[in-house]
This record gives sequence, C-alpha cells and structure tokens, in this order.
Amino acid sequence: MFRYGDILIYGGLIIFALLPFFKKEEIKSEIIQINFNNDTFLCFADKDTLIELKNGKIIAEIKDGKVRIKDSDCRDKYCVKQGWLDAGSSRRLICMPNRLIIEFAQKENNAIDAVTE
Amino acid sequence: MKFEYGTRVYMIAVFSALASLLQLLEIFIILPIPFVKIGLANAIVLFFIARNEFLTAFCINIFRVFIGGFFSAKLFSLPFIFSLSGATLSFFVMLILFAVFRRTVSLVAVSSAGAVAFNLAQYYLFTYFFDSKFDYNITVSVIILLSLLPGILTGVIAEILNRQDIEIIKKPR
Repeated sequence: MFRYGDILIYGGLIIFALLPFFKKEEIKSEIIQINFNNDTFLCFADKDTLIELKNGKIIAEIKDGKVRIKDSDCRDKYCVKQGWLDAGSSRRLICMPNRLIIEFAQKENNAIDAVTE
Repeated sequence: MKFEYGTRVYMIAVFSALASLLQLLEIFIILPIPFVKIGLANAIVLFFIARNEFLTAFCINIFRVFIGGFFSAKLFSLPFIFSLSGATLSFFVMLILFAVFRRTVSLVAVSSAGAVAFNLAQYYLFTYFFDSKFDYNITVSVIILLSLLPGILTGVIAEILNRQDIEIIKKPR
C-alpha cells in the first residue's frame, strides 16, 4: 500500500495544491466604462482616483482596481448601497435617476453561453 | 479467431463492459462531499497497468467512457468531451508514473495522481469553454485536495485486486 516513491508524488501534489496560497494577487489594469446621460467615458482602473460627475453631486471612487459610487444626490441611494465592483466583474453599478451606468469594459469572448445535458 | 478467456480481445471486451457498468452504478452512490465521485472504473484500468498490459488498459479506459456516455445519454456532448479528455490525460499520467518509478511507487499514489490529472483536465476544459481563461488559483488547490480522497480509495481497491493471484493474459502455447 505504501512505498517510498509515494512521498515524491504526494509531496508534488501537495506543493501544487499549496502554491496558489502564496501567490501574490496582482491588480490587472482594466478599463472602466462610464455611461452618463448618453455619454461614454473610459478610464483606467489601476489609478486611485475620484471621478466627479454632475458638478460634484455624484462621486465615483476607484481604488485597488475596484470601483464604487461613493456619493450621489439621488433619493434612495441604491447605487451607493451596491458597494464595490470587483475587478473583472460582469456586474454593473446603476443609478437610475441620474442615468448612470458604471461597468468594466468586457472583452469579447464566451462563444458559448450555456450548455444543458 | 477464437475469443477465449485470456486473449487480449476477450479481456478488453469483458473488462470494458465491467468498467462501464461500474461507472454507471456509481451514479447511485451519493457521497457527503459534493462534486466527488469514486471512479471505480479507474481501479480496473490501474489493475491492468500494474500487470503491464498497457494497451488493454488504454482500450478499456477509452471504451468505458464511450459506453458509459452512451448509456447515460450524453454521448458527444460537452460533458462527454470533458470526460474523454480527462480519462486520456489521467491514463497517460498514470502510465508514465508507473513506467518511470515502477517498483518504488504504490498504486495508491499513482491512482491519486491520475484522479488529480482527470479533474484538472476537466477544469481546464471548463474554463476554456465557459470562462476563456485558465487561472491558477485556490480553485485548483481545492480540486487537488478533493480528488485525493477518491483517488486513494480507488488505489486501495486496485491494490487489493492486484494482490489476488489472477492470470489475466495466457501465454500462447
């Protein structure tokens, strides 16, 4: 059931399994796409900045490759409550009263959407 | 041409039937851990690898994927392709490990390496078809750790089979 060569195989497998824990998370420079009142802006996600829209009444914050709507003048503030948008996420931050959509620019991929058995 | 007990054709036919039956019966065994299946069919392949019948083992491995896919109604679908590629990769990993180290490794370790190769091939293909990028992250380590358990179980079964004194291929008289 056990021979000495096994240590090599199990050791290799466990090293393979543990390596991802020691890998550093690198922030990928992705492009954030902002749609505001039928205008489209693009900005890079790798710089920490504040973006002011509508004369500073809407503030979007970019930090560590993530983005959120920090403040808005809309009534219910659902856009602020949506929180951070992680890098590469396919979700969107939407503020309906201000006609604002913030999302990561998607690369064209995914030839197949879904498969049923 | 006679199909007697002990000829290679006979062995491939009987044991691929047995392996695909085991593969189908596994569906009814429910394990407490999700996404884990035992892979009893792999024990037969390992048994033949341990007896140096590499061609027989390869044929059994491929045929059981086809027959199992046919009877579980997913022949030539995407899960079938995952399964076929995983089976092929795991066979070659087990073959190389067994052929290189030979007397210094047990079947348990070879089996667990094969199980890891099977699942990683499937994960790679899944990312290729659905996510379009293979990321070496914690998912990989979870897959490796989860597939060690059934791999060891299958290896123990193969080791028990291998200790029986069965003459599988008769020498020509």
